[in-house]
Amino acid sequence: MGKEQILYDDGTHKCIMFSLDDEEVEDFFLSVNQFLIIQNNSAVLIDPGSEAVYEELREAVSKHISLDRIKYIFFSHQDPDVAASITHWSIATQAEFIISKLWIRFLSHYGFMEMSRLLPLEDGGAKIGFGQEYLRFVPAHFLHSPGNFSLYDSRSQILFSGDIGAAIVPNDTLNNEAKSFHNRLEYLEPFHKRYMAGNRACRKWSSEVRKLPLKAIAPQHGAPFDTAEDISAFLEWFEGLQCGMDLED
Amino acid sequence: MPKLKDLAKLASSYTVLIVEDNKTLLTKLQQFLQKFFHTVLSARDGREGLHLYRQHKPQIVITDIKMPEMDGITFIKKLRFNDPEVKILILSAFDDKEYLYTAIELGVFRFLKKPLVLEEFTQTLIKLLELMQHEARIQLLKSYEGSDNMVVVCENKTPVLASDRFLDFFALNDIEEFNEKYGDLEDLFLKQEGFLYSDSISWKEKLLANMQQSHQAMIKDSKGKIRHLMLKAYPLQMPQLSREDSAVVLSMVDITGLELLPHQEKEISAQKQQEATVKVLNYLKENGSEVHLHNFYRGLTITDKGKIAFVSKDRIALKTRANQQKAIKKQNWVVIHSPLLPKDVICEEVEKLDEEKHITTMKRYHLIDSSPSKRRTIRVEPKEDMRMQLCFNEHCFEAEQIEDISINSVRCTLFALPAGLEKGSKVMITLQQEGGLTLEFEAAIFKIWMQEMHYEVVANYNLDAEKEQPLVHYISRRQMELIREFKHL
Ligand SMILES: [Fe+2]
Ligand SMILES: [Fe+2]
Repeated sequence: MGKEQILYDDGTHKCIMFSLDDEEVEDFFLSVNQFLIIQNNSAVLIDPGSEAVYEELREAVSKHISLDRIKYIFFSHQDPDVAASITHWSIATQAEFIISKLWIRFLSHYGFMEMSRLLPLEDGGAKIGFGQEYLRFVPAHFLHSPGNFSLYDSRSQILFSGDIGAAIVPNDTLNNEAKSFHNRLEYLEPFHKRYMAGNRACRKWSSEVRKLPLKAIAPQHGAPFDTAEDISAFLEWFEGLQCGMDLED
Repeated sequence: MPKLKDLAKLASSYTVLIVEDNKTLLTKLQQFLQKFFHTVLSARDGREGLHLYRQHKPQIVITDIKMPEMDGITFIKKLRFNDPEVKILILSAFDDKEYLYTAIELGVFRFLKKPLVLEEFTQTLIKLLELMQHEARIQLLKSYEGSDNMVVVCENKTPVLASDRFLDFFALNDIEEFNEKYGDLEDLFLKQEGFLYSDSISWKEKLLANMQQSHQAMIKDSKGKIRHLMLKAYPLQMPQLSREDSAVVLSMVDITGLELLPHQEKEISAQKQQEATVKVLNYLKENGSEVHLHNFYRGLTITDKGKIAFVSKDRIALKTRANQQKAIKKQNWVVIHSPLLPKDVICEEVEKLDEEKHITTMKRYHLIDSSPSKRRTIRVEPKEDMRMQLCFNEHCFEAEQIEDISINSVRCTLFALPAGLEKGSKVMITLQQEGGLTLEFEAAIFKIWMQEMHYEVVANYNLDAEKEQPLVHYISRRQMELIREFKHL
């Protein structure tokens, strides 16, 4: 798979997945995806990641849309692989930044001070409408971050799920050989068991997600689940997952 | 039995006192009530009852009439003398008229006849507790009612009680009529950018999550006219409500008269705006609402929340964090932003800075059109080791100082200007930092001011990715440096 994949395109609405990794630290390789939603002439950038991929991502994004058209940059949570480049993006664009209100006070540690450009998300989430369609920030707290959201795009029916469904793989074998849910389970399990807080959180999120019509679930690490079988197999597995505090004595 | 569930929910925070000389009945009652009430006290006669009452101040007293030592009626008379509020139930085998009249006179809630029927007893207790809950709500509503606000009490996000002013506003008789007409408040507020209700988030969630803030809202009154409201939610401390009920008081003030609604297109005079500003600032002060304070430190944005401690026509005192005070001290100004203000307000001179109480008194405040709170482009003051050269028609001049720089413009001071330089002139700019960034690019002169001893020049540019990258890196590093510098100030 290349470094760029069009997940959805209907002429006015487009979802693009970039898979840019920090190649200098191959020993600790983590396959990371960044996403761009373009609606007409404005865009939302999702989980742009760390400084290490900033330049490459900037270039990749500007092939699709001019940077000054990025209206929002959304961070599913506070982690460095999600948000560490926030300062760079705040300098290079005029976008507003969306993140759980829990992380606002920590952003200055990334060098970010533009508090008036922040849209802190309340725990219950929020909805941004465009025409009949909308983007919805779906609460995903404690999966793994205590202030965590998935982003649902009603037009493409893709759920950008952040670390939920993330496959931690040593190289890109996943994208070639282990794309189906059952083949990638071995890459999902260790990560979810340790990083996710507990089954209650998994069930709460799943029951919200089950209410949404879904074409794909696109995690921040690994390939999207894009068949009905994979989506339901994944949700079923995730709902029943014993993880985090469930496994503590 | 679902009724017992209701009883448990209603009674859980109350203390009840039972006075009864029949030991078997007393024990039975005690066992039953203990399942529902927070505390159950029991006494064998009026004297003991009075003693316990003084010690524990129960909200409900259930008493027999015929008892040794002190009888029920004497006991009730003594209770009433000090406490007109306590709720009393009589439990007695006697029910002749004389007792009934005395009971009414003494404000007894119910007269229950022995032998006790559990069903009836439960029902009576529920009725009593519901009444008490309602009285508590009214009390609460009154405590939030001021000279010109409308008040609604909501439980579980549904209005349960409203002040007369609120009902008058909608020309309705009671809250039931309101709920019938408006549902559960959900569609009450009109959609308007920057107001409580925009489509990005349910206004209820927003309100509940931002209890500290005042919001503005648009609403249609009984005649269908659009009114402009300021509103604030208060979390409810109401022990009578069990914990699972989330209760809030909404307090609203009609400020349509200030003519601040964005859809009103006619020009508002500066004087009127200033008057409205003082009013809004006063409202914010009185409600203890948070405002946002904006400042810069060498281009670094310093924003904090603050509260208005005092406001008069020419002075304003702000309570804010030490960080913001530090910035105000350095800059000698601060900008106040609130969604309720027609525009941002700048305070231009520090009069007094109380670092212990975190209160800064500022003089000379007024509305401004372009505010730093709307700044979208980050501009920082570069470090002293950054040099800049401006070349025009082969003539190059060294900038005396670079005031600030962003990815698309630079502001600097020069002692002399190349001949013929004017707005729109194409120039070459070279930025050079010792052992660091070196950049050369084309720019256009945007503005030139002549100062007493020097010129101030702003040049704009559009960099391609290759040149923009190092500048973005430089600015982000510089921001980090400034954060450190500001912290150690
Ligand atoms: Fe993470
Ligand atoms: Fe991650």
